[in-house]
Amino acid sequence: MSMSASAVSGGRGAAIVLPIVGWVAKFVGVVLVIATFNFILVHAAPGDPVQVIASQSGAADAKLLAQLRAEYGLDKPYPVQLAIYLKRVVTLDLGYSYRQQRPVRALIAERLPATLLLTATAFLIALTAGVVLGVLAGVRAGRWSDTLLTIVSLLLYAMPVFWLGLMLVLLFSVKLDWLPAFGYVTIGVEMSPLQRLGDIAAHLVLPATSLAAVYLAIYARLTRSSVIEVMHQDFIKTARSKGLTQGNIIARHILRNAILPVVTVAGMQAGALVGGAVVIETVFAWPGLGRLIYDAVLQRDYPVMLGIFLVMSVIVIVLNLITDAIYRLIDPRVALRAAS
Amino acid sequence: MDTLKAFLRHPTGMIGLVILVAVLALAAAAPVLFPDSPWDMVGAPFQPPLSEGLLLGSDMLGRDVAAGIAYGARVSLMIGIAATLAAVLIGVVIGAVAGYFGDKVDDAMMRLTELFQTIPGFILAILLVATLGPTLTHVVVAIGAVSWPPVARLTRAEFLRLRGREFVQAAVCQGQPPLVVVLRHILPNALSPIIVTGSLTIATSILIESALSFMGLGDPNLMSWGFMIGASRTVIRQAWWMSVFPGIAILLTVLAINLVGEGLNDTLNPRVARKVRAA
Amino acid sequence: MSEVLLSIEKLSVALPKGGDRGLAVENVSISVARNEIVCLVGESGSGKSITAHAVLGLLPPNVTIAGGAIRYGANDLAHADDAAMRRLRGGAISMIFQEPLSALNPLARVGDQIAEMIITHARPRPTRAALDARVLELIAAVGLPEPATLARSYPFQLSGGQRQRIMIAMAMANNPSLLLADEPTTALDVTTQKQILLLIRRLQAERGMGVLFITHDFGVVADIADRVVVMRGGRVVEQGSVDEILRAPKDPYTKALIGAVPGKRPPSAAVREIGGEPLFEALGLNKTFVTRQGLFRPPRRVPAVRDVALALRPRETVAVVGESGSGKSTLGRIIMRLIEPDAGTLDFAGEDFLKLRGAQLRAVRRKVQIVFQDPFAALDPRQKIGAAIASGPIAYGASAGEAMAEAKELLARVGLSESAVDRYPHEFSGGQRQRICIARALALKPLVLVADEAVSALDVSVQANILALLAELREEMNLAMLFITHDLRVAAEIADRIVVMQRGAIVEQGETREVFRAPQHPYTRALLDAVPGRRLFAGPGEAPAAAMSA
Repeated sequence: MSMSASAVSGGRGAAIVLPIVGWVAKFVGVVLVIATFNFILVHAAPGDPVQVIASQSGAADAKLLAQLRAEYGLDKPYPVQLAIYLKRVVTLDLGYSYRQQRPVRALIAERLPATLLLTATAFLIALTAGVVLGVLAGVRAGRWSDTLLTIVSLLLYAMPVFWLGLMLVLLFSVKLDWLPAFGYVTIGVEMSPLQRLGDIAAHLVLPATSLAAVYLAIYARLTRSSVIEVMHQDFIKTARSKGLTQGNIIARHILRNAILPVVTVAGMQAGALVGGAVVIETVFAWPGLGRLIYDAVLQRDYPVMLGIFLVMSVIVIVLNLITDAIYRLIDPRVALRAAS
Repeated sequence: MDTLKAFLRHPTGMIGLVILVAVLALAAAAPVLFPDSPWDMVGAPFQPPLSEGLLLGSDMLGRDVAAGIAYGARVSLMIGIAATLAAVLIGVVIGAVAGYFGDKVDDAMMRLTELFQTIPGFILAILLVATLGPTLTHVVVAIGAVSWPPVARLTRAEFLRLRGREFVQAAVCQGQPPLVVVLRHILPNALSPIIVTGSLTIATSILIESALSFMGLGDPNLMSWGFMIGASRTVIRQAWWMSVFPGIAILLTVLAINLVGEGLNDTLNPRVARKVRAA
Repeated sequence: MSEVLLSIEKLSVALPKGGDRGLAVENVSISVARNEIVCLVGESGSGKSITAHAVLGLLPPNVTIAGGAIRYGANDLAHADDAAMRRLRGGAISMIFQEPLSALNPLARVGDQIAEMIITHARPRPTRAALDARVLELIAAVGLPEPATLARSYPFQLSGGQRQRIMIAMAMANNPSLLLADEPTTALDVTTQKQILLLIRRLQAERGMGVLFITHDFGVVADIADRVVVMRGGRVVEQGSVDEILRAPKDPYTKALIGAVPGKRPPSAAVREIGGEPLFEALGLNKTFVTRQGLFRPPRRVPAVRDVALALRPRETVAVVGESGSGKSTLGRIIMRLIEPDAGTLDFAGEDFLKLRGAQLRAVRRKVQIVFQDPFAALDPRQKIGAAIASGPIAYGASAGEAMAEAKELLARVGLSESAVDRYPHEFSGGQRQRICIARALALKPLVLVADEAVSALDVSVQANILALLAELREEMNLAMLFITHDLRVAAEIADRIVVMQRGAIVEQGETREVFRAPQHPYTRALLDAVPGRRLFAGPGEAPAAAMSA
């Protein structure tokens, strides 16, 4: 029921350019800081940095070590070393895994799609289902369905994700045999592209659900309390005084206002969600970055660990930007304030 | 005193408190209940629950699952509390400085906090433990290092709010020195939300610790719940009890702490609670 | 009397159990006829707002109608079902509220919010074009410029007055026959209030509407009411025509309320003895608030105080008067050294107070004390009253025993019992707390007392008592006072001199009588003109007898 919106859109241009500049700045800033962080970690690790980079301890190929020392400038002062390291990161050179005998960038590129699929699916499930359940509970606050949601979310919130994943495996794979428990796709079977898609989806259900569950609980509880709070605000009284039905009041006045804090929190929780993916991938042998970092940790394969840390942080930033954009979409005040 | 009475009348808070006391008792009584080390083999491997002498069964190496859970409680609670103390200390100092001084100091502190909140904390914790080595202290440091940002944000918000409040300004006008104003007027009024957040941080710290142990990054000398699940997950098809019982221990402990935290929230901040609870 | 529109008969409204009283409204009977404005007047807790909300069934949860009837046409609204109530709400009966910012959905364009009102009731549903045209017509009808631009605005982009006009446009959308107005001008500046009152008057007359207008301000009553109903503690104490009530109130409570309206009494006849040399003199004070909006946006600059020069002589009371955003409170806080100005000097006994640091600052600081607006925010909820008052002198080296004894004396002086020292702030009412705040400020034996809207948050009868107390204390303690207020009537009661501020700058200052008698600046004239109840309550510049009630 909007009046013509075109007249305002003129001012939107500036409003959109500004956040993009801000986003890019934030992006670059975070990447640089994390790269620096990585650098510090390499030097904090016990042993000679060059052996850390080569992921070796004790007897190592002297020629390789000398070559690395020169390449990373490890005989130069720290600031120079840091500059060299940053330059490598900026040029997307994440180093070489001497354990796996492959460039880290290639290793990550191979595993990235699976992680993106998992985190994006979980994020989407958590946000949409959380908001829907939260709104239902909020407008029915005090009834049995609300109480049930409160109990379930309290339980989910107290569960370690890896354990929830294992329990789902126990129930749906071991006992019921409905869903595959491990991996990304069934191996050694000829499939049409469509079948393959279905197969991946079937493999995705359990890990994505386990990862989403906690956040679903958080968003549902938050939405619930946000809905209850908005319901007590003055403009809801105005809406009632207009003669609107309860359904219309919820749809037109409560919903949008109640979602805002949820979106904010979803952005802040993105880091935790991506961290949770590491554990979930370990549980489900999901061939993503989490699985890779697990192996790297066991082998103390620093270049891989640090590369994944960087890439995972970038994923978090991207999720932040998405929630930021959603927020702007819902709340016109942000963009209009920036433009004026 | 009023707060205590109100808490004792808070039903879910009391349920939480009862469970929590039980877990504490279990942790305290572990050496009495299970005089042998939880690492010792006490029976045949793969014994299901309720086997002779093994209430919760044994694991792949014939260790008593029940003993592991009792000793694990000590580790979980100790690490949860220590890491939270670290996180609250860092968070309160950073938040208080940002909120009290405002302006540029606030800007710098909040950028830092935002950065730490953007970084996937669990991965940072993995890196820290992997780099520094898996000891109890390092696990505590790693968890503390990734758990402080929410405390800092909250403390800052409270300090900003209170700093502008008229009773604080009145104290300034009365000639009370800044440190007295902070310690006597701002901090006490900011304390109850910090306590609530702190109690919830214990719960998340226990969860992070269990995940680290699950990934094999716990202190190898300490029996912990996460380690038990991680070690036995490959045999889950044959021996469900090895993963199920330690998980329930984590679930109950974290749930209890969360319930106590919410109970504290409702009794310490009754105004907010009533607003949210009103139906 | 013409046809009765709304008839509230013996209405009682019950509060949830466990409250401080059982009934919010008890046995109240009020009627509103077509083409009249009935003012429902009372202090906080009188039940006036609950009564209005009961008419549209908008009571808060747990608050229920316990008895009586609300007759509108053939309906009894006290017992109507939900569907019937919805048809009436926004249709034949509309309502406007106190705080227009929170009464509008922050995320929807105001044009859409008005359109929603039409769509909800108009059958058949109007076409897009007809709807848009009607929205613009309504916005124009409430006197807003550029309706097309305004319709596309969000509430946060409008001023307080504009928002209330939008609320009124919305209320008028379906040509209601009855308008409920719940303190619609209380949150607005006095000049804006005047415009909104005129607008409501005009719309009411044009449409022959009945209006039930809730207010706490007898000045507003004098300006707008045809009939008046006075409520206290949930009951009607008196009702009658506006002239009867204002000129010849019968009930003692009504008399007291009208008597307490500030600005009604002539200023103290005695010429006050005021020192010659200024106690302090501020020159060239400037303060601009800068809010940074992130890395890549230019900071927002809001000039709050611009080139202010102000002197205060011993024993003198200067009122700084201005509307919101005039910079008057910032000025007060600069003088308290709670806000650091960008430029300027404040000469205090030969020293520049603004340059002092450390021990020197502390030495001078005790000579300037402040009483804040909100007595609920001004006391630390975790500190006992005695400690709150005594901690000032203790900070300056008094012994605890001495300071506590003095605190007791001061409490007695401001009209509270000495036993108050061991109690916490939440045990006291707003007026009592303000007395405590005054005692706290005076404990340091200041030369200057800054009163920042110190009576604005109080009910009118309490306000009068606090003003009287301040007037006594300034004589006893030889205080100079800087009295910051938005209310010219209050200023008239207490000030020797008035300083008028607008957008950060002083536009006029002079002796109180002179400012009222012959205001020089157009803004001062607008302010004076907007004082509610001018036709009944004289300012000090006018001959009191002519306009005073009999």
